[in-house]
Amino acid sequence: MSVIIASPAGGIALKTSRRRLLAGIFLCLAGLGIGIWTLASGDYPLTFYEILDVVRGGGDETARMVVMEWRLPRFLAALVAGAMLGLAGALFQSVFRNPLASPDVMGFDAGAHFGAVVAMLVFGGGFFLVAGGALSGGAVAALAVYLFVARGLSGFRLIVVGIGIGQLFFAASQWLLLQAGEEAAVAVASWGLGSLNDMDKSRLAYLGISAVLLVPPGLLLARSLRQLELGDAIARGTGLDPGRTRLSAILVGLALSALVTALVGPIGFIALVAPQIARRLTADGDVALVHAALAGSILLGASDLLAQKIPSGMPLPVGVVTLVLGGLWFFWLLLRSGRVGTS
Amino acid sequence: MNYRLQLDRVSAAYEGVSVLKDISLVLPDGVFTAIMGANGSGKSTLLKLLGGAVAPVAGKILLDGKPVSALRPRHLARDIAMLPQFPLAPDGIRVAELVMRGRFPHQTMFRQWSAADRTAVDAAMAQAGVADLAHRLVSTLSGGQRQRVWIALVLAQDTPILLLDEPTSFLDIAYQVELMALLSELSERGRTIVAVLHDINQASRHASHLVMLAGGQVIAAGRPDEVVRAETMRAVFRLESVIVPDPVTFTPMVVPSELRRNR
Ligand SMILES: Nc1ncnc2c1ncn2[C@@H]1O[C@H](COP(=O)(O)OP(=O)(O)O)[C@@H](O)[C@H]1O
Ligand SMILES: [Mg+2]
Repeated sequence: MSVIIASPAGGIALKTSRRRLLAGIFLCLAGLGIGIWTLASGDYPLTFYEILDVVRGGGDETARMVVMEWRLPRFLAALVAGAMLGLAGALFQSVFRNPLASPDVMGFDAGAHFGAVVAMLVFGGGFFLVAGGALSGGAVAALAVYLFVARGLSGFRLIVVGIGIGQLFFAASQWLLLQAGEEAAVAVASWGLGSLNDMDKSRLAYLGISAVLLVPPGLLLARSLRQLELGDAIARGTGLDPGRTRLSAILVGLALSALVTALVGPIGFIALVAPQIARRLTADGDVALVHAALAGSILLGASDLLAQKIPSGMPLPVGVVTLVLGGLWFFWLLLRSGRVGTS
Repeated sequence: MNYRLQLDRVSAAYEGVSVLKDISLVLPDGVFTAIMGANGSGKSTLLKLLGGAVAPVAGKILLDGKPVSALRPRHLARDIAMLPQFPLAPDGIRVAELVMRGRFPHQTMFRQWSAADRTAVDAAMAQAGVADLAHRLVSTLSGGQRQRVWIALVLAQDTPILLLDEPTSFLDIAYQVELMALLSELSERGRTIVAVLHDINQASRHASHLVMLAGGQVIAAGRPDEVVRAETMRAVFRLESVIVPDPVTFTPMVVPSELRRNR
């Protein structure tokens, strides 16, 4: 059932479907539920009405502090970082026409991680240095993978190459960390697992700015990617420049995932699974970038909630939770279909 | 004879291996041109050159006197539609949605749907005989049905020039005849059709301009009665044949008599 959303004069006319709208609403409601749960639960439990009071500008001082200073920034960070990862994954999966092609699986995140570690240990850190390091590291990893694409590698074998490149970068990061002093290594190591535990407002602001700069251009690629998925010949024949679309999507996707890596640490699984969930929900053969971003938000929000709920000696980094979930998802995929190896 | 599309001393090569050499050819407006030749003779390459998908190593492909390589892809796509030999359909897509994607060059970022799109898609599906399949999943269609969906996609693009690479492959004989009739009807209504075809008898029945490729060159080009001759068949396919009039249309018909091996 298609739905046309149009301005009265006809200057704007967008096509969607009832199923897409419903899936979007469902994802938003799920996010809202996880949000309320995240804000309410913890060492200082709050009721729904207490949260509502705080959000409206009232509430007692402790409640205000707990919500506005601790829980809300952390939850917002999960939403924003999750959306960025979900979108990044959707861009890569569409460009490579492969549901396994996400920046975490393909080694781009490991490259970004390595670049960020170098920036922290060698140059001393700071947002712009770390972000620059992560972007360069991600780009180097992507270039390495691209050299194989240019030689005709594709499908499952390309994924294996990506995983290998990721492992090389991972090993290099570990080696650097071992060379560094103990103090530096410990500081980097907790970030190195991807954590929202010490999310503060300044990092949240950087995350927000990154998202504002990168998410809209990413979402606007939907129309071109939809066409590119018909193969280069049809895409070009209907007026698309396939090379330019591919390059734009890869650059935006790299920047999205590298900046999340720089600000939160490497977080696996979200970029891989969110787009797959989105496509399963929309199920119309079209790209689902908005849905992938929403699904990413929810997955990271839920994973962080889980990280806070699992009893452990020290605060659990959300990256550990997503790694475990990612492993389980892989098992499920492999058990469910033989298609993984041939796509 | 008017023409918008033309090759001017064009050569093409893949990684240094020459495929087409110094070809000059005019594709007349409103005419159904059939490109023929042996496997690997460069028919698809010729079509890709015309569609701007492959760049020539020498010479020019001109649309209205301007090199196609200089045109913006979007503008080119409003003049020339191209059905490639092996298009890809995304998983989970339905027929009407796939055909709608032929409307891409007529849409913009913020106007991704119009009543004209709807009309063009409906007309294209009707012409290609897939209106009944509109809500079917493309992945559940037979090869021939799928081929007709792709034809509907390029028809929906609504261009004056249509390039089709082996559009009859996968079609049963009735749909082949139907498609050929559709193509000649479209050309009678003013569209320029350039199609790679294998069946010479079909081509000489329905197309009015035949182009024979061999050895990287145009061996013969012209009306069917000029091109479909025993000498041409020998030169292009190494095939001995007798040419007789088609009992229905009286166009030349090839009856193979003896195949020379070692080609
Ligand atoms: N992308 C390519 N890379 C290298 N060689 C190619 C490519 N495409 C076609 N060729 C070669 O060019 C020649 C002509 O191919 P093509 O135009 O597809 O022939 P046809 O369509 O007549 O069968 C063949 O020898 C083929 O192997
Ligand atoms: Mg061919």
